[in-house]
Amino acid sequence: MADKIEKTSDKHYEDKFEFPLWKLIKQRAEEKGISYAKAAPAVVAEYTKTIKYRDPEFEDKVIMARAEELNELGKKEEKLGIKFKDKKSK
Amino acid sequence: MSLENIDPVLCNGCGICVDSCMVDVIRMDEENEKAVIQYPDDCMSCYFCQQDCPEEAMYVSEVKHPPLFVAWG
Amino acid sequence: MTDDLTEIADKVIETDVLMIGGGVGGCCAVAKAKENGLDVTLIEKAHIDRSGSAGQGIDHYEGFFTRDGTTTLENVSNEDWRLGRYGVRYPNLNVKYRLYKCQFWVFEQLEKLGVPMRWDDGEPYWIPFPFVGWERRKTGLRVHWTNIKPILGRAVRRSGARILNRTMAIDLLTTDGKVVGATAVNIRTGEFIVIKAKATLIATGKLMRLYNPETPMPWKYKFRYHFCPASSAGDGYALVYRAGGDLVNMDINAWTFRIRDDLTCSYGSFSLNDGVPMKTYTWDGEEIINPNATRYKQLEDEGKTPIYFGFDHFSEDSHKRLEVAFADERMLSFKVAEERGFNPKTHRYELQDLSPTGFYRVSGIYIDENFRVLRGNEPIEGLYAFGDGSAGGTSGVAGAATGGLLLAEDLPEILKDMDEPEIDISQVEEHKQIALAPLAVEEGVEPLELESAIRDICERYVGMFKSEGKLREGLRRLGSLKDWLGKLSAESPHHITGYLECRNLLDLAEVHIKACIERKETRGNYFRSDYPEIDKDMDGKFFSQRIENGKEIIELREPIPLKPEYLKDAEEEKAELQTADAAS
Repeated sequence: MADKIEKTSDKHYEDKFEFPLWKLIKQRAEEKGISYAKAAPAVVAEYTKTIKYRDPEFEDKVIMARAEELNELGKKEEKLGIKFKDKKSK
Repeated sequence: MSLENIDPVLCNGCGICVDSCMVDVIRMDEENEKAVIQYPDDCMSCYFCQQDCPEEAMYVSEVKHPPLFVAWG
Repeated sequence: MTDDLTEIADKVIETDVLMIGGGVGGCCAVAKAKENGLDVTLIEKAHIDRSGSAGQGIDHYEGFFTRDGTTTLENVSNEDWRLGRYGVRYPNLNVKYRLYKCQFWVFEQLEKLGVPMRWDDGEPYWIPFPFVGWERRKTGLRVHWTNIKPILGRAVRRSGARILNRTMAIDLLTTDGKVVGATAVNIRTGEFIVIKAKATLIATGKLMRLYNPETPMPWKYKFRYHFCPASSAGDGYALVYRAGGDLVNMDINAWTFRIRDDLTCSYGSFSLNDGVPMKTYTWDGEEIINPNATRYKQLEDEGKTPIYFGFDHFSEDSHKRLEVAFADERMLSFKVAEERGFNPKTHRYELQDLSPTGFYRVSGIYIDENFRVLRGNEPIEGLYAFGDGSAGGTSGVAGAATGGLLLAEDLPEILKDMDEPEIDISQVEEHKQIALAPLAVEEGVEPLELESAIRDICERYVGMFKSEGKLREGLRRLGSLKDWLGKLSAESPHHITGYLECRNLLDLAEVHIKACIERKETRGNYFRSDYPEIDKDMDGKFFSQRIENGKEIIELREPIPLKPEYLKDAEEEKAELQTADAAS
């Protein structure tokens, strides 16, 4: 990331962007004449279907990949004399 | 002040925001049955009123914050 | 006697159960106690529909244990996740044990109250946990609880309990050492209320407001706390302390990462993010392991701070999960981020520096496993506490809900043979005088000014790096603030809230500083510059503080161990686990 983005912030704050889920919540609230809070549950329920929450195989894969990265990082820090305390690790 | 305006045209007088506000900033104007900002200084900009308003009548402002220091990418 | 009372009070209520605080815990307790046939009165400083730390919604519910060997009954009862390794323990191990034992019953109870525990497809979603052999630990649920408070509010209204919104407790009423109810004031009308109760329950959230929140205008924007600012004044702690109950571990306040600038409050799911944690960076882009306080101090000395969270490694799927977490807890984070042009796909979140936050998990009101508030080793009759404000692991939404439900289940039996409470009129008169005094003060000091002064003392003279001299100077300055209380003015009943909160904060700041003076060691994230080593004799021990006959008492205590029957249960479970392990 560091090489992709310059170490200045202003530029990035000019970019307009929208959260897709927020847009959907606002749309539903508008259509139904209800509050954002009331609109959210139905929209969230639909939105979660587009996310791989119920795909344990996929989840395990990404979790394992990230855990490996963290383990490597932990070893690197330990070599530097930094105590990495994750006492619950098996 | 963070809750800057309650649009009297959009406000339908339902009073939900009066209950949503945990610090008692908003009250009902008995005469015209619209929500009004009674104690603006106490607003903590939690946005609950905006989140619960069915008519999008609440405007919680970002403008009056001091400049914020945000992370660079 | 009631005749006299009605002359002093605008309203007198007689009830079986008085619940002070209508957050998740309070609402659960009230609905259940009412279902169990008791007469119940709930007082809430705000309005039950959006009050408490869950007002903004909740995205995760922790509190189950699993049999995978990582969260057995034995180790959850023994250790606090963060502090355990530093030798700071829960003051009473039995509380946590009791909570964990009934989680699936609580799951059902919450569903009965209309709380969505399962997702749309009829199944709960268990949060996969990183680190621990990356197996699916069934300890926490991802929940879509944007509207948990309106849902519980509805359940309470349906139960038929007496609800007094916008009503703040002034003090507890005591007779012969028993708690017999409380006095309260309606902050809209100024109505002075006396509530006579057989059991008084306290669940008013955790104390946060002795320190500044993560915002450039800490004296004003109290919402920049992670938790509900209205509940974070520690009202319950102060009520218990003044009524003679013990507060424990008031020197140990937490230091955990918070995100600066209010960019999100949805922290629970956010940081673990369904098993794919964010990356932590130093200011110059070096990835590091999420540091503890000691490591953070090193980083600070090396010039590596601030620290940031980054999400650039996230897949589209993970980014969508973040969005769902936003929607579930503090939805208006979307608006804040968009208006500031802050895009999590391209930006990093700055984290707070090394400064103290609230008192929770191991700190707060001293209770036993039946949620009775303790005075020394003995429970105070008629007084109960649970939720974030009590010490012993009833924290978080799971702790609050479970504490409330369990206690409400026990109450009918407890109250069965109890006598009618007797009230001491002179106490009532005194409370009335205290609460309504600022209405008569003209051109006085604004409560916010006093609160800022209290927080300034804690920030400057206690803070992260403590020493005897600073603590004593802080205590001296705090003493000089006490006169201010009488100078506070309230233009209308609305302003009484701020005044009563200051009264509570003043007492609690004193308790906090005195506890810090007593703990002469450095342990975990508790730093004493003048005592930089761990004092081995203090392992697992804690201070308790109370008032007895007008005198302040501070005692060093050891945690109450697991009861023999609980221990037996835990051992049996461990053996079962080992057998299962051997078989596999």
